[in-house]
Amino acid sequence: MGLLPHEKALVQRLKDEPFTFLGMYGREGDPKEIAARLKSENITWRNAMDLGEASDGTLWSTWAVRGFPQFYVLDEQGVIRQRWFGNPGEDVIDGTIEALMAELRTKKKS
Amino acid sequence: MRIRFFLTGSALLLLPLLGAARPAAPDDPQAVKQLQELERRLTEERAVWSELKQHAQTEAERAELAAAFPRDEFVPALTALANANKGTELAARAWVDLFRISRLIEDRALHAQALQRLTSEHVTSPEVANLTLMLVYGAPPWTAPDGAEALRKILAGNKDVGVQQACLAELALLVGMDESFGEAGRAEAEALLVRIEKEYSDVDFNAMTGKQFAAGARHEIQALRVGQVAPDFELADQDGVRFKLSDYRGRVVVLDFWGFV
Repeated sequence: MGLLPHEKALVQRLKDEPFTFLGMYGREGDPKEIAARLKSENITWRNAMDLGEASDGTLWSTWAVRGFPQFYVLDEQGVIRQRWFGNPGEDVIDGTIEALMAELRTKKKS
Repeated sequence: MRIRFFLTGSALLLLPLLGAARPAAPDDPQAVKQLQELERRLTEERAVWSELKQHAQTEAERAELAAAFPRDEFVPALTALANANKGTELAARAWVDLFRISRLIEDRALHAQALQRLTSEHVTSPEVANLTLMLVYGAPPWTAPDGAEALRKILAGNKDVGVQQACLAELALLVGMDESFGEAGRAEAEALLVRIEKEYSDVDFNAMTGKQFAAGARHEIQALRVGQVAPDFELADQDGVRFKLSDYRGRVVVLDFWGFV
């Protein structure tokens, strides 16, 4: 929960940029209740739900999730550029994303 | 759910070690008392610190916090205790305490020294068995080279089957996944996985067989390390709308694996 204010600020700051923040919701629970809670907490970004009957185990098998939070940062080609177990610190998150955004802007120019 | 159990397996693998018996009390009761008092104070400090550290979000804030730690209260006294009781379980405990402090304040020299002493003088100690967990999980990136070296030494020097399994599994994932180890690290990881398959083929490698563990770890190293194209998925979002990760090509994407507490 400690991360949410920073995540909201990040999403807001980059809302007009080619940037997407995707939640991968993986804790057990009723999908309807979770959807309601996302709304009440003002979490506006997309959250992939890999839960209950509909679960094909994507989170747990393909992504080898061992605990929360866990982050992957992908570039515009879908290449994994960074991965963190736990919160690496807001400056590290921001710095990594900013570097990739700058890289993307440079590529688009050339 | 079987698959969930399988993939959390490498974390679960280490849990039994946490319950490992405390070493027999060393001979010098005064030294024991002194260590206990230092540890009591250290626990107090650590409680304050982990709280503060959660709020330190920048390099500068973390450095400031590290500088404020009462290093002089703990490091000289613990080092003196360890040296005066060299080779005893009490010394092992003091080195583990010093190791924890080095993590807290990012003291790389102390980190290297504590691990060096623990793996050379106390490799068969239960304290070292407990240490294996801390060398990988929650370990900051700067600790990776020392951590890997310590795991190699523990693997060579401690023949307890639980410790062997933990070291094989953790070392394979550490050197296979952490990009700082490069191609050589991946080759080392593969050799360790072959060993796990061979030695624990169909026998219990904690919650799975060695074969299953090796298959999971290979997938992780091959598909999920930095530099690989992320595996695509198709899932429903909170509104029930299905989408694919590949829909977002052309954009920088953060995947945040999380859940409400």
